[in-house]
Amino acid sequence: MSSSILSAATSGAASCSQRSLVASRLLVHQTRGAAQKAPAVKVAQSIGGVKKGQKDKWERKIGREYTHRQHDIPVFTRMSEDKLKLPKTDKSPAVLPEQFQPMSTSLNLPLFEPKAITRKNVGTAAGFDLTPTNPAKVFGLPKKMFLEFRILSTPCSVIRDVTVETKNKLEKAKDSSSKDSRIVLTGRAGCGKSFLLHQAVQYAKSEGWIVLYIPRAKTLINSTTTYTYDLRTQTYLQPQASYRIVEKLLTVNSDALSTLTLSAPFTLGGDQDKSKLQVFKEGTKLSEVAQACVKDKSYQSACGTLEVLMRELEGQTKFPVLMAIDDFQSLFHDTAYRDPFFRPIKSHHLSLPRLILEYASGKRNFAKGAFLSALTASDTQYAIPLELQDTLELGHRHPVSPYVQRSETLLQYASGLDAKAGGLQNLKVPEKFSVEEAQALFEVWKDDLALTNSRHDETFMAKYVESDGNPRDFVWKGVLASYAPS
Amino acid sequence: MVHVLGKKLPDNHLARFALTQFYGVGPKTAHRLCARFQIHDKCKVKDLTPFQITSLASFLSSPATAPPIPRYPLAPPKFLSPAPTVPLSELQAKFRESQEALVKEKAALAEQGTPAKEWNDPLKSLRIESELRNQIRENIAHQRMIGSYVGRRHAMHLPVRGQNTQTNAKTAKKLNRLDRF
Repeated sequence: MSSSILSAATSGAASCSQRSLVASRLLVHQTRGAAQKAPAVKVAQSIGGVKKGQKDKWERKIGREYTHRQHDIPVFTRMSEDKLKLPKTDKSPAVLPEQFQPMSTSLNLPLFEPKAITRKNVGTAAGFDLTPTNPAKVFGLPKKMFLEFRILSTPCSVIRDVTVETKNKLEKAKDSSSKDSRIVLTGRAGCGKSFLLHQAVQYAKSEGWIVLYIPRAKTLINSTTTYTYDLRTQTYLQPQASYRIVEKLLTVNSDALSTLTLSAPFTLGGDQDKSKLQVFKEGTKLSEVAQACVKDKSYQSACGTLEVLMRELEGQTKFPVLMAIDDFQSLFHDTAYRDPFFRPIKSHHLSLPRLILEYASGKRNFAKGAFLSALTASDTQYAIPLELQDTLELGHRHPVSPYVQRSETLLQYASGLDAKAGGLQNLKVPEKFSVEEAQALFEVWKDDLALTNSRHDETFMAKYVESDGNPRDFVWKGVLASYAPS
Repeated sequence: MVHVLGKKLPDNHLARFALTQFYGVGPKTAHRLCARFQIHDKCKVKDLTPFQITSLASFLSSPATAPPIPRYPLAPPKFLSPAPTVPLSELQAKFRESQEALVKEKAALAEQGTPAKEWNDPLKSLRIESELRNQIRENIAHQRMIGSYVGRRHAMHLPVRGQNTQTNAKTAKKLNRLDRF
């Protein structure tokens, strides 16, 4: 039929032009009918997420759609009910199709275990376990890492040379005082300091250490939680932040804390109302003390409890303790908190930063364990201060004027309050990924369908060279920036 | 809902922002006020403690007569805090003694003719609401009374500081008068 119309249209005669127009109209009309006849399979229409009373209203609407369909081109089929649910109420929230649900596509990576951290495994990606008491889930993650894990279907990291090195250091630290292993991870922005710190935390946790991980130390000093002056410690206490730390410490290390006991009696809520005092005898489980503190939602007892917990952890030799602090350099800045005279409070006059600085400086130590911290080089608000640059011998990007003052106190904290213990040790994280390490990461993202166009070796080498081997740039500016809508 | 000196401070506002509702309290003064009562930057009005609210209200009702802020000691790096068995009252008594000793020392210095430098509290001269409005009105009235150009311009509802009047000068025409409030 169409060939006859074509011949009519191509005849070119003026008298035929009108006829051809009619014919072409006919063509359209007839092809419409043909297109509609093909998908005439009628699926029973379900009425997804419709309120009861409005059923017949919907049926009428669908009936109208059905009659409408017979005249019009677009063939509309309703999405089946199991594919989409409207967010009608809180009780029946919207449900994503399965392929979009988190963890629906897993990467099948080996688990990040202590035995997997070997020289042989350098350059392989390993996924973290996702139990609810995993330190990453409870303590949280540094922001950049959090964003990356939000895109990845399985949170993972690459085992590097320096991972093995850190593991060996922690293995040694297991049996000695934390005074001997106070380490700062340094290196240029995006070289993987925070990832390494997180790997150390995961390693320590699965080796049975007690772990205290603070992924964003900045939050302790940026004036976001309550603070009150305390005459006993002569510092500003941070009840809310202390409460959160006690809560998290308990959640992650509940097994270990329930085997440890108080070495001296402790009164919960020391300086508060006498009616609310709670006395714990010597020999009470630490987990019980922590639980009592968590129950007190007024946060009043949190600072005292944290202090006692830390004292007990210092004394015991049953479990090694890892204190892991990210954003460590921010503790060497003036805080955003202000005293009544409107002067910025120094971080060593705030209870939590002071606690961390005391472990960093060797004033307080765990009988067994380590202090591990990482600098954030990309933060411009809390840049690495001169005191740390000097003591860790990081070098300066620009020549420093001889007239720039250093704070004596901060220098003391950086170079160690205990003269015998010495200062913080500098562990340099390599600036670049080796090719194998980058390859492992590339494969992870490739398997996670982050690369849309080309998945060839040339792409890999291009991204590797463009980013100069810098791990963060390799992922964010290399792999993830490769998406180009065609 | 919190009412301080007749002003409603909405629960969900940041305390630092809510304080700017007072006529005469801007963002800077509000920040200073918050620092004075240890209110952190992200504290909402609903999270203020009753003590903080009452002390804010009593301070704002007459800033000039507020008691001076005590200078609490801050721990040096090697400070060891007293054991928890030492009652807080004892520590407070000790602190009070040291404060009294300081006062005496200052008095002695003043007698010698070399008074110690006092911290000038900027919040002491804070005036808010009707007090501030009165002050502004009085200032204008004073200018008029002494017959100055400023006073005359105010009376004529015209700009005071040499601005053009052929066009614009709308704000001056609206606001410049002898009894502004």
